[in-house]
Amino acid sequence: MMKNLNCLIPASGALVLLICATPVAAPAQWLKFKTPGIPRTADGKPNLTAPAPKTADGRPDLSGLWNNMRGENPPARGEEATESVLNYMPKGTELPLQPWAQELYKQRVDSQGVDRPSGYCLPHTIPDAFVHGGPKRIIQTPTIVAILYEQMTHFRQIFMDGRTRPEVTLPAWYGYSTGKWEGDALVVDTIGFNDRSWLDDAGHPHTDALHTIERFTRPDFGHLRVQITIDDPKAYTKPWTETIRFELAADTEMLEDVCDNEKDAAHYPK
Amino acid sequence: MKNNSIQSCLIGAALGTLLLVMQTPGQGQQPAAAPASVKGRPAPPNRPAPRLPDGKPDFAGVWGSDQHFRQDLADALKPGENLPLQPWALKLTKEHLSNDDPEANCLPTGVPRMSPYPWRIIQTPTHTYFLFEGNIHSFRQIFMDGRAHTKDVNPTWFGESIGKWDGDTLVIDTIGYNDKFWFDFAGHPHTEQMHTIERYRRPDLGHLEWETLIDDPGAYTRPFTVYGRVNLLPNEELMEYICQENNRDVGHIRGKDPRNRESKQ
Repeated sequence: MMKNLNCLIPASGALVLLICATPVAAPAQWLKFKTPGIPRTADGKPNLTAPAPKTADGRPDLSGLWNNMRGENPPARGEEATESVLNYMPKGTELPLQPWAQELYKQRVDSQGVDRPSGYCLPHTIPDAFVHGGPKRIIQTPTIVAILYEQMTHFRQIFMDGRTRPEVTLPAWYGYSTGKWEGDALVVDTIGFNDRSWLDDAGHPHTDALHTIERFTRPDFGHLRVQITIDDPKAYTKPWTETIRFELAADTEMLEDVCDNEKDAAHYPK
Repeated sequence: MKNNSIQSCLIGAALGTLLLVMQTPGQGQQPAAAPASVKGRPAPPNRPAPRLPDGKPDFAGVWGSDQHFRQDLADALKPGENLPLQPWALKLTKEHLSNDDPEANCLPTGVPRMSPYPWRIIQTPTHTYFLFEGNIHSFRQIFMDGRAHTKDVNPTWFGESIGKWDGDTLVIDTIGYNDKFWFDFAGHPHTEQMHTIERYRRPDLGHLEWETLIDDPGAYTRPFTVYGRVNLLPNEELMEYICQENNRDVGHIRGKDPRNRESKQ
């Protein structure tokens, strides 16, 4: 049977820690099939510095399977590796949290994130899914860009058909995303978030006023750069930006990760 | 902010009802005919199916659901046929209570079951993806890159799917299913031995048809085939439906769905 290896729950100790790390690969399954049609070096390895591919209409093609590269400010050795937007920002960065949001963030840190939505099988959204480990696949078509996440086998849709922002009557976990090209950058504008997701596992909060702008660029074949601006005037005093870099994951595939019946939630301290 | 899950469920239910109405009666083996327009919505377009640059049919689009793949999978058999259940599987079907249905507990439908909500197909040269509005907002990936099945596959909800073209038919061969999901509300089981071969065609722009051969010697006495047919939903999009968000139904489900054949026996 498929074992859910992502969340390891140590059974002992007064405080049960939930360690949701980068998904651990299950026994080899379609993991070693060579990705066809990609540039390779003389020794057969994927050539990650080859030029970025283009679509038939001359746009950069962002399609591929991507793994995030650790940020510039990863947790120090021995620290608990909580996935945080701060890992992708210069050391010492202080986010411009409103006082109430600062207080809520502190509560979440102090309680080791026990009410983290993913612990209840609820989605990792924006930018959370990019901050978090696990491969993501981008599929680019002229009218829609889909981002598939290995985690929870969830997906996100970005509409490229020229539609404008919708009038949001139904806030959603992934919000409503429209994309357009600015030169070689895919710029994705998202509104209509609900206020239930967290920006990261660390617990940075947001409200339903959240508006994100993501700029996707592919400087070469093997690398993707996503600059994310968080604009939520109800939770932050000013917009802020972080950049997450990804490396192409060649010769591998996403596994299935189904969050099975909220088995973690029962182990949270009350 | 107010929690909008109930609103979301209502919209989902309304959409599901509409899709039921839109469903062409009969089963997949019927000739493709333009279905009647539903009030306020145009009938699906009846032009030729689009093609990809390599000449293969393009299945991309948002598709409706086929109601025969929900209550009782026997509904999707040819008329007069019954599911060839082994005795233990028939017994288990009768014992399954609806509130234990994995689908009701926010787990994937597996194959060939469908949720009542729309789904999207996206094709690339190396992969085909099914994206589901229902079915826990999940997706299915089908490898089109020429790989063979893995030996000793780790069982999963959607199994390991390999696709290839047989003329204009997309043939998806899947093994490596877990034995957790039910085929339908009736509770028809299967085992990890299940092997499916799905054959998808797009006879015109507005329709997708398929037949699925199900071979599970662990639970059924012989292989059997189910037939599906759905309409393109032009100008529709997948909404977001997160089952885990506010799953209030399951606590109210009692007994078995009265529409199931086995529950009438």
